Amino acid sequence: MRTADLLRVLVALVASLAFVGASVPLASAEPDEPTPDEPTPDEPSPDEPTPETPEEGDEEDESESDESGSGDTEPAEDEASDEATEEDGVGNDEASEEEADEPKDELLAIIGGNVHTVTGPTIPGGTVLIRNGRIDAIGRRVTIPDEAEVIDASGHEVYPGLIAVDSSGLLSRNPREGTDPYAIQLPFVLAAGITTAITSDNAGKVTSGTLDGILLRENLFIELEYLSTEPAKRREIRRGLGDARRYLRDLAAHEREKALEKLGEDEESELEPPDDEPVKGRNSRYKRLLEGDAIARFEADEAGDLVAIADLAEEFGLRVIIIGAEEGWTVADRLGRADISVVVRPRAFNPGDDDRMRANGATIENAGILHRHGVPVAVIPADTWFTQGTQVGLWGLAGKDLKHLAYSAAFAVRGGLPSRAAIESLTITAARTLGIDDRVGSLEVGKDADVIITDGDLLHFMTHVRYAVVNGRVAYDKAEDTLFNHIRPDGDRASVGEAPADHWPRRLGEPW
Amino acid sequence: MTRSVRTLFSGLVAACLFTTNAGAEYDPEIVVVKAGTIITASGDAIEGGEIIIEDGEITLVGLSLDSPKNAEVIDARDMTVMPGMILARTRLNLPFIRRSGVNGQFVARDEVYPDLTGFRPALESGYTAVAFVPPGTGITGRASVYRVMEIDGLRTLDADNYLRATFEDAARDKGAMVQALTKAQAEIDKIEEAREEWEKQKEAWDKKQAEAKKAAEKESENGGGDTPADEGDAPKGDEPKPEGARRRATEEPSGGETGDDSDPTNGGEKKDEGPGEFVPPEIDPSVKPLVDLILGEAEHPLIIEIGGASEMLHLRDAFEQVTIDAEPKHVLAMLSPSGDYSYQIESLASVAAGHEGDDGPLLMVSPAMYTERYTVERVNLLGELAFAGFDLVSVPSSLRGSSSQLEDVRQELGMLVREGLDHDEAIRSLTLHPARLLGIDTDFGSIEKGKTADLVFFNGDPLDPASSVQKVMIEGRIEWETE
Repeated sequence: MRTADLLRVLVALVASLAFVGASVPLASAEPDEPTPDEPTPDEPSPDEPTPETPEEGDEEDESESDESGSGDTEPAEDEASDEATEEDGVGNDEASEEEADEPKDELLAIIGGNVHTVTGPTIPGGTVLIRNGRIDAIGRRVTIPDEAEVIDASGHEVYPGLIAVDSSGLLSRNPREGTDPYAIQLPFVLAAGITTAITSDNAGKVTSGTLDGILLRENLFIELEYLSTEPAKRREIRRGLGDARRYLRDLAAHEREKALEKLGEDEESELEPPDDEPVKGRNSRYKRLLEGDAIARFEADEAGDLVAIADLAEEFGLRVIIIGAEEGWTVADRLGRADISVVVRPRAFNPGDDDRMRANGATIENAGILHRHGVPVAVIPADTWFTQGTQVGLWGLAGKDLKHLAYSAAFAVRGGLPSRAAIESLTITAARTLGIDDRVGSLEVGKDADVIITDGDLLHFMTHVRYAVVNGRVAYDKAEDTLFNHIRPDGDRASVGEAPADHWPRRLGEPW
Repeated sequence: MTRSVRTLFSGLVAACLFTTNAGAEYDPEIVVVKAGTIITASGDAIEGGEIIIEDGEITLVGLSLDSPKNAEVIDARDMTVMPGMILARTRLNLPFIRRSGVNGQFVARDEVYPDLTGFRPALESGYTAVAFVPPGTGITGRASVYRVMEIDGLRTLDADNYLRATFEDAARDKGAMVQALTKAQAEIDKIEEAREEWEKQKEAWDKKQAEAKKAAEKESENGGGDTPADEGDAPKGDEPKPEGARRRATEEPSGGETGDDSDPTNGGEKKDEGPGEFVPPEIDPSVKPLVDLILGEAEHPLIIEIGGASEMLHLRDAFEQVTIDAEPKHVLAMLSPSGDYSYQIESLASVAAGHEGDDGPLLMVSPAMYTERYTVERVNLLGELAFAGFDLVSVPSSLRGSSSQLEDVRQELGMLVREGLDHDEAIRSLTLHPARLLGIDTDFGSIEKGKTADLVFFNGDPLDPASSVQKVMIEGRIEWETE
């Protein structure tokens, strides 16, 4: 009995194997034949090789029936759809495998706050969904995945992280090389809303407590000195730019000639490329400037210097930032025409001294006037020598009172800068002047998730930063950090009214 | 009953000792130490125990042992005996040299001179072995381990020990580390390339060899006539003709069979001409130890003196920046008294938790209460690290070794013990763990049977600031004693 059963099973197995074996060549033969299974009895030309395209077939032999044409096209479509489904299937498989292999997405949702996108509308009660350090979605109807960490920002304002266009001592020269991510400066500037800072000519993130993603971009600009007091340097810059430009023209001409020669005959070109001395070594910076690879960064305040820089920018087609520009308001139209970005210190004021015959023309209206003339304006705090004694020293910040960056913009508002432009001057305009607006400067899908959540209007003097998110990671939490957690500990909104009951620094304990 | 058994047993042991001694041609030096407390470091402390030492080696440790009559007895019943302490990182009085960058070629041995007076502070503080390190920053070179002896001066235990690197300041040292790793990897790639080249050559050679053999076989099948013999010789090529001719002349009379035999010998000769054994190319001596570490061929680890929590992040970043075959086996040294290591204590604890093996991961530390940065809070970092499962190695934070600095290590440890560090762990951080770090724990670091009798005698608990070193014994001889 049993043996018989076994035998039967064996026979069945062998038969199935034989069937499989037989079906294999059939399957391999299938692709050549368009419709092996379809019941099309009037297949017009079985001898004909695979039809190339139905159109051609129609053109070549019009005598063929329409059915044949339809018979040709249909299977093609089927094939296409089959392929598509196959691809889809493969794609899905791969995706699922990848999901299995890859670590889980890091999700953070900021809900309920007034989302100031800066480049777009302000969304009351909007949600910002962050996935793996990038903004994934913004809006009122964003589905929040279950596994997402949620920050409730209801009653708070949500802004993009601020950009300190000029800072030093915060991150090291190259942020990745020597920055101490545990330094106390970092929570301090995060508490001021700053998430991106420039050190030397590199842009870095204020990633407190980690080195991941600390470097935003390297070699952004080249510093040049182009002042009337330094004629030799002016000459040197003009000479360098001129030589580099001539070299680039010669090189382009050389390339053209070479190309023409190549078209004519295949012989080796005897044309010598121009001498690359003007773009070698230190001179390479002029080439970078001319090619738009780097921004020219000037420090200048006097109207004459500003106009000279505008002339230079127009002559050589440079991308220019001017830091300072205290007298910029007198030549605002000139700067606007030359497409120059300006970084101003709204609180700067030069009282004049024995060395200078006159007081500088600094005014609080500078930023507003420049803005009205179409000059992109970014804002940094005033230098130490002016605010000496009025600011709290922050070790190693080289006198930049970065703790109060937003105040400086608020001062500019007092001088006539629209408040929207003032917020832009800290975010998107600052990012544009540095050429990093593809990564930071606004809340947009795809940009880095650098978000600050404040308990009031950004430009209000009572406002504190509640959370600072850098690269999708909560880098500063006011309640957790010991810097300001004693001020409005219940998360009340910033308002001008009575001082909060708990104003005495709590961490120092009760006065005895 | 038990007592009688014990006396019987000890008597037996003594008898054994005695008989073996009597049987031997020479009289071994037998020393018996009767101690108040024996801190064994490897096990529990023994109150009122005895140590029997034979020819400088510990042969028995226990309670009321019977000793042979000719044994010298050291009565230390009012003292605490612990294994000789091991100083895993120092320069004592060696001069300092300003040096930076990648200098793996230096070995501390080249600087050490056998002048005891300078090294005596170590002996007086209870250290019986010291590891000298090369000075400077960056990859500074390799340490050498010595034993301090009054009579013989310094005695080398291991001249080429661990490789020392500094990473105290990321801004300064990260570049050197990245440079060193890049250079080492370049050398490894060079070796790999050379090996591939050699393998290619060898393959070609083997092929040629096989062809020659086939030809030879064919030749033998043909019967070993004159013409096939010529064909067989043809692939040899390089062989000078007269010699070949001569050999053929000598072999011809013996016929086909010997012709078969001659082929392997020919092959043997050819092997000499071929690629031969793989000889790796010369490696830059400044990164040679690092190359060995990356390839996993080094016996001793890389010790990285890390300055703080941010440096730990930068070190990890440096290892990620350079694509190396494998992370070099390394031990961190946390020696900066103002270091903010506590920011990284969780990641350190996870390292310890993930460590495999019976022994915990080694960590070099400088015993001190660490202050939490920007606060007045104080952290018992060593206590927490030991609790996390690290095997600590205590060294002074300074490379200079005046006797007060060396004494301070014990006293600081005592304070940490008061604040919660395990006492035995503190003792082991001075003895057994440094021995393990230096790879000399088979002979040193604890009071156990079979280990060398390097002992320190204290007039109290070694970690008590009030107690001081009374005697130092090295290989069963008292090398130093208070007056």
